[in-house]
Formats: sequence, C-alpha cells, structure tokens
Amino acid sequence: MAGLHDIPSSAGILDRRAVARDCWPGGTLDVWLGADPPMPERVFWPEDDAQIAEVLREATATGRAVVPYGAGSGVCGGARGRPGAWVLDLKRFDRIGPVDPETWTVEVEAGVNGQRLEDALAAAGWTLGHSPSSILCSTVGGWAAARSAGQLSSRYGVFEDMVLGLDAVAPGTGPFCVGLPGPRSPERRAPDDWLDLLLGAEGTLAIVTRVRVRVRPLPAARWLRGYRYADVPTALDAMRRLMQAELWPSAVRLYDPVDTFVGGRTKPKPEHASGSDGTEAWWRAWLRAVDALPEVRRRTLALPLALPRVVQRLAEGLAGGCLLVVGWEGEAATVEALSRHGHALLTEGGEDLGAGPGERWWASRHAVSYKLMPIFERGGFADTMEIAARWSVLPRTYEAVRRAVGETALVAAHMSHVYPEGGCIYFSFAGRGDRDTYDRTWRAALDAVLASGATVTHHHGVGELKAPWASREVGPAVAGWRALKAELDPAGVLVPGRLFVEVPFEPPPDVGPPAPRDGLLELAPGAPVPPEAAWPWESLPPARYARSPWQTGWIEVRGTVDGRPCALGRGPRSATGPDLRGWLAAHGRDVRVTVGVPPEGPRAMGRVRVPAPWAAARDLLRADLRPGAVGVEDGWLYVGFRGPAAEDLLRLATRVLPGLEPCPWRTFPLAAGPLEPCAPDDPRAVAATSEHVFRRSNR
Amino acid sequence: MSVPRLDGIETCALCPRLCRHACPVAEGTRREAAVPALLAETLLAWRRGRVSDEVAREAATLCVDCGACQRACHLHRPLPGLLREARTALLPEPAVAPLGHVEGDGELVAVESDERRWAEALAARLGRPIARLRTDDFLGAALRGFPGWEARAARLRERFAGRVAVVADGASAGALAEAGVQVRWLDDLLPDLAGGRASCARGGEDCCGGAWPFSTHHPEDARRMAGRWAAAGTDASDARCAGWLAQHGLPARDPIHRLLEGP
Repeated sequence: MAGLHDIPSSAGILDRRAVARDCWPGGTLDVWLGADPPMPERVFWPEDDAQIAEVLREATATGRAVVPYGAGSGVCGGARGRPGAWVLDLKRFDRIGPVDPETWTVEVEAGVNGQRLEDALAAAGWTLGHSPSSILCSTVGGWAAARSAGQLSSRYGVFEDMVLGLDAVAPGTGPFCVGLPGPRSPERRAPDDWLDLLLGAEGTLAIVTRVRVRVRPLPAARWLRGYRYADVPTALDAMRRLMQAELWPSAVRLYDPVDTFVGGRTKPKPEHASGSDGTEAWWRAWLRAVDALPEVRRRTLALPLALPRVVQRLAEGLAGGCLLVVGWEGEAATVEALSRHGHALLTEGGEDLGAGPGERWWASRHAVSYKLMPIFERGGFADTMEIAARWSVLPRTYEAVRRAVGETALVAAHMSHVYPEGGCIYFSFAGRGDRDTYDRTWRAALDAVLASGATVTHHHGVGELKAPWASREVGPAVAGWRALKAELDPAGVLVPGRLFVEVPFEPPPDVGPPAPRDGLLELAPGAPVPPEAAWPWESLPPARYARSPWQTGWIEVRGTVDGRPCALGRGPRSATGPDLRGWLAAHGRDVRVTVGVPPEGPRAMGRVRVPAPWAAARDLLRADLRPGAVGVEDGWLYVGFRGPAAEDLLRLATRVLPGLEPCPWRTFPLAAGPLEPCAPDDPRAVAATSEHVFRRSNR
Repeated sequence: MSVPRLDGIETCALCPRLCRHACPVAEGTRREAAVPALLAETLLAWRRGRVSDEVAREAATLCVDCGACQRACHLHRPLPGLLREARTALLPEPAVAPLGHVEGDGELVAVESDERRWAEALAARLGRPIARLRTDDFLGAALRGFPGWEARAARLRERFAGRVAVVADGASAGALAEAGVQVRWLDDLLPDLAGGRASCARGGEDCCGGAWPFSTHHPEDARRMAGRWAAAGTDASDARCAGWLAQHGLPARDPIHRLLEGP
C-alpha cells in the first residue's frame, strides 16, 4: 500500500496559493482588495484510488480537513482553500476511455478538462453535449460535484442526466462504485440511490474519481435563430409553450431588456473579437478610451455603481424588448421538423430576427467570463446567481430579485436551462467593489429567492457562498445527507463548513398548488402515477441510467421529517446540493409528489411488430427521436409523439421502424425498476435508453 | 530588486483561468500553479509585495514562452510578454557562447544546433549550396528579454545579412525571428520531412518540457512532460524536443533524422 510520502505532493507556497482560491468572485474581490487567499497546508496529486484512500485515511487519523480540487472554476467558493487543509488536486486522474460503440458510453476520469474531453470525443465523431460556459476551465469532477448544466441542456440534459455510473473514494468505505460499473471500477458496489446523493455533494461525501457518461454522435445539423419579444412575461410564456410542446430545442436563452440592451445582442455576429468593426457597444468604446489613463480607469465605475437605481432606470428606459435565442441540433430531418414547428410557435408573439443573434451567441458562448475582470479593475465587483422555479413562480422571482439587488447593484438577467415545468434565471449583477456592498447584495438576493418560492441554485453549486441559504431551503431533509455522511465520512474531514451548515429551521414558503401553466400534477400521498402523466412510471422512478434525460421522475417532493415540513424541487431541477427528493420520498411522512403532465394537443402513435421490440426502441432513440410514449405489448412496439410536430416525427420514425402503422393513442406504464442492462434481444427486456436495453433486476 | 510595472497583468490575474486548456505546461504538468492566469496572480502579488522574489521566480519560470495563452485569450492579453518582463527582472542574465560564423556559401544557412551536421544533406536534396552556422546554445536564445539581447540580435542580423536561416529547432527559430532574420523551417522547405507532433515553439500545444528556463528551474516537471510526450509517441517536428527527449532516454525522431537517412 502506498504511504503518504509516496504520493506526489507539495507544500510550496506557489502550489498552495494556486489552489487557495477558486473562481468565486467574492474571493476574487478579496484578493483584488489586497487580502491573501486562505492557504491550505499541502497539495496532493494522487494518481489512483489507493492514493486518495491513503490521504483520506491519514486526514481522518489526524483530523485534518480535505478539499478536493479540479480546476477551481467554481463560483461559490466550494473549492477554495482552507487554512491548514489538505487539497486533493485530481488533475492526474486524466484518462479518457475509448467510446464503447455498442453502448454509446465512455468512462472519463475526474480531472479531465472539459474542452479536452469534448475535443477527444469530437475527434472520434462523438459529443457529450455538455457545454457549460466554463468548459475551457472546468473538469469532469467539478461537473459531478456541483451538478453542472451545459448551455445545450434542453437537448442533452444536465450533467447528472448523463452520468450512468461513477467511482468514488470515501474515508469511511474506501473506493466504491455506484450505478453502472466500468472496467476499472472498485469491487465494492454501493446502492443505486447513492448516485443521486453523490452528484451535487460537492465532495462532502466522497471524492469522485471517474464517471461513465452517455455520448451521442456529433450533430449533423444545427439551427439557430433570434426573436424579439416586448417583455419578459410574454417571452417566458413562449418558452414555456415551446418546451411543453415537446419540441426539444438544444438551446433556449432569453435575455431580459437590460441584458439585451447592454450586450448589444440583437446585432449580427461581430467579425472581429476586438469589436473594432463598428459593432462595438458605445460603453465598451468609452471604457477602452479611459484605459489609457490608469488612475482614471481604477475609478471609472465608482460613480455609476454608487447610484445603481439611477443607472438601472436609465438602462431600462433605453432598452427595448428582449431577445430570445433558440437552437436545435441533431439529425438533419429531426432538426428541420422541430425547428419548423418551433419557429411557427415563436413567431406567434415574437419578431423573427433571423440567424444573426443565434450565431452571435454561438460564437461567444464560452467567452462570457471575460466580461467580469474589467469591472473589478475599474472599482466594482461583478457576480452571477442562477436560480430556478416553476413557470408560475418565475416572474415573481425575477421581479423580487431585481428589486432586492437593485438597492446595491445593477442587475440584468437571462433565462436559460428550461424544462417543461419551469426554468432557470441567471442574474448578473455589478456593484461597488467593497466587501460590505458585495455581502449585502448577496444576502438580499438569496433572501428574495427563498421568499419567492424558488430554489437558490441551479447549476453553480452551493459552496461556501450559498451554504446558509441552501441549508434553509433543504431544511430537515438534510437528514438524508447527514445519514450518508455518517457512513462515508464519519470524522467529517471532507470539505467541512460548506454545502450544508447549521441554520434555524424555517418552514418552506407557501407558494400554493401548481398553476395550470406549470404542467404539473400533485399526487395525493401514496397515489400511483396516473396514465396522463408525461412519464407514467409504475412506482418511484428508476435510477437515472435506466431512463432518458428528458424522462423526469418527480418534480417537487414535499413531506415532513421529524414533524417539520420541507419542500424539495422548488425548481424543475432540484440542484441545491445532492438530489434528496428520493430520500424524502422514501423516508419522509405525508409525502406529496408532483409529476409533469403534458398539455392537451396533437398526438400521433404507431406500432410495429419486430423480433426484439426494445432493441428497436433503442434504435429509435439513437436516431434522435424522442417518443412521448413507448411500450411493448403482445410483441408489438408502440411509439407515440406529442405536440405540434407529432405527425412529422411519427413519419420520421418509419425510417427507423419500417412497417410502423398508425394506431390510436395510448399510454404505457414505464418500468420503474430496479433494472439492469441486458442483451438487446433479451426476451425479458422491459425498457430501453439510447445506451442500453434493460430487464428487471433482483438487486 | 526593482519590480517591473507588468502593465495590465491585473486582467489576467482576475480572469477565471480560461487559458488553462491552451497552456502546454499547465496541461503537461497538471500543476495548477502553471495555469497562466495563476502565474499572473502570483506576479501581481509580487508586485504588491505579498510574495517573495523566490516565489515570483518560480512562477515566472513555469512558462515555455510558446504564446498559447495569448492566442487562446479572447481578449488577446499579452501575458507571455509580461512573464518575459518578470523573468528579466528575476533571473540573472544567462551566459551565452560567442556567436559562431557562417561557413560556406549559399543564400540558405542551415542552423545546426546539435551534433548533427545536415547542411550537406540539405544541399544534396536541394541541388544548391547551403551554408551552415553551428551553435551549442541555440544562438543564445536564452538572452531574449535581457539587456544583452540587443547586441546578440544585432550580431544575428549581421551574420545572416542577405541570407535566409533554415532551422529545425524552435529555440533558434524564436531567436532569429525576434532578431528580424528571415527564417524557414527545414520541413517547410522539404515537406516530405514533416511529421511528428508540433512543439510549443511551432504553434502547437504540445511541449516536451525542454524549453529554457522552464527545464532548468523545474527539472522534475520538465522530465514529467518528456515522459508524457514519449507516452503519446516519439515523433517530433522540432529538433530541440527530440534532443530533450533523448537526454531522458526517450529517443525521438525529427526532420533532421529523416533528412540524414535519405529517402
């Protein structure tokens, strides 16, 4: 067994400084104002699971805190240094396995840089489809830790939708695997339901070392377009209808009037990144001019940022309408059909701006973070906050946060990562660059989010910044995390003081039952999922590896723990730390679950008799078609599509399933599990995803 | 020690490290400290008196001066130049060998930077006379940025006046280009010699670790990078890389090997 001294490490100042700060703007502000970052004691670069286990064993024995580190791209302080701590820098976990062409999966180690992964996959004709704006500076392990979401999440899913299995090392158990195992997985296999608890745990439960993820062939076609709407509520409604029509765009991004105006986003794509082609925003040109005067430059923003309300009103007065960018990608025929129907829907209330705004966004989609530094340099701070809520709550949250933040900072917002049930609002704010203003702004913002009934994080994680608010939101359901923590990290050495902290109990806000436009159905305690649900599971939904990314299980789960009420899933994606909805459903009392329901509208179904129906269903999914209903009965495979494109999609399905004959619409209960992969032609098969065909399991 | 101005290093120091994937040292060593934006942060702390010269020196030498960070940056920040500025202040001016003389006739001058003599083979391939200039220290490329560089650059211009340098290594190529001498790479002149991975000096994002001062100040990291390079294949397009790999028992082939072996 490796001893601690055999593990590459450094106690040098340079290496410790490098991992002392992640990309949390609060930490950046501190450094900019002259403070030293919180210095850990030593950095380890483990190269295998055994070395991680050894570091954790020694840390547990000596009571030393351990902070895992990938690329430090987190913006909530989750990976920042901690005085006296040991840092596990995982970048030597850098292997990218070959894509398995049989199962469309690949195993990737935690330290792999996102762009490097995407480049390697693209060279072989594949894509993960995970495209966060941080892709240049983040790692796969970080994506797992914070439950990252990419800009194409509407099509490919968020990161936990892509993970079929993972390996991890915990102080209490040593190495183990969960979900579908891989070729180098440890022997110890943990229960499937740990998968939802480890993803998003931000290293507080275990160190994730490798993941097995879904991949898809590179898209053959891409379609991008911009639309102008008069105001945010009108545009939000268009987004909602687009998603509930099951048109599955790859990207949906709404910029509010201030963001649209300040970003100059409706203009065509600039030919030069420098902006010297005449399309440069006036304010950027002005800032460029003062750059020549360093003393002036340091104070350029001091006055406007000291008067946020005045400047905000000015910007809102100058702004005119908001921009929605929508895109589709995938198989050419599918993209054509979906975008044609999507375009018709979006132009009902929006003005078509052509391809320019979409292409402009695509060209700069990974460059957003470059805009923050100049604000710090000019005497301000800039930060972002992503929250999520159901459709009926989103407008309320949008206004509440703008009102709260507007006291101390300028605020703009865009809405991306949308789902049939709701979406994410991504606020950007800038204020005067002092720590007090920064802290007051965040406190006001997060208090407003919680009070409005939204969730405090969507894809940035919790870290140190949001820990008190995340703990208030999760409430007594934190017991689910604590129970696993006691088993995996009994001494509490992993990332103490982040993610969840002790806070006084407060009941969840009463946001009332779902509105009709939310596309949600609240089930009575213990009631089965009804056939009219979007995904009528037989019982609790199966592990993520046994369902497709868009096949949601539950949206909200409410219940009581130790007599105290809690509500999880206040947004369409419960991303405040680990997904504890399953734990609450299993361990809470008076549990009420909401599930998605599709609106009334066109339906088209066909059936075909084939020798291995679930293998044929997998082929259909691989052909870039997403049936809203699928089932097998008496040797017939039934596939159905919902929404305005249903007839077109059924027609496309006949290319994959020759002989598909139209039949009346019906729904099928979806196998809930437990399930395990089986041979595609296994007669016991009961379900399929793009990767596997599944049969029931005794596990 | 007088700390240089390092104008504009703040932008890089505050950046969320978007250059990390482009940097061959950061990628090759897997050391967070080598990420160019973090080198900038350390140098900003040095300028503010919060870290020692020693720490700043360690940071400034974690760079092979390939320019990849600037190319990858959407803001085109000139970080490589700022790191050079810092190195000039932090390191003693390196001693370099006197510059040799061009031997022979011909408009093209083969710059022979290791023990291999390839001017004749090149002359035979091209059917024209080729002059040669031998160097044991890559024409004194290590002087770039230091006060002594201007004199060395002037001498290089004088030696190559009216001629074109033919190079096979990135260090000599960099020195000549900066001195304003016209340069042709050997395998651009004879494309059939091309092959192997492009080095950090040739606009690629691979690095064998051999570039000075990185290899001198961070020998363990440099060895590690040589090992990573060799694990992915030992074919190089840069003679300096091949030489560095050979020093570590990782024999590599480069365009000069192919030239000398003939068709």
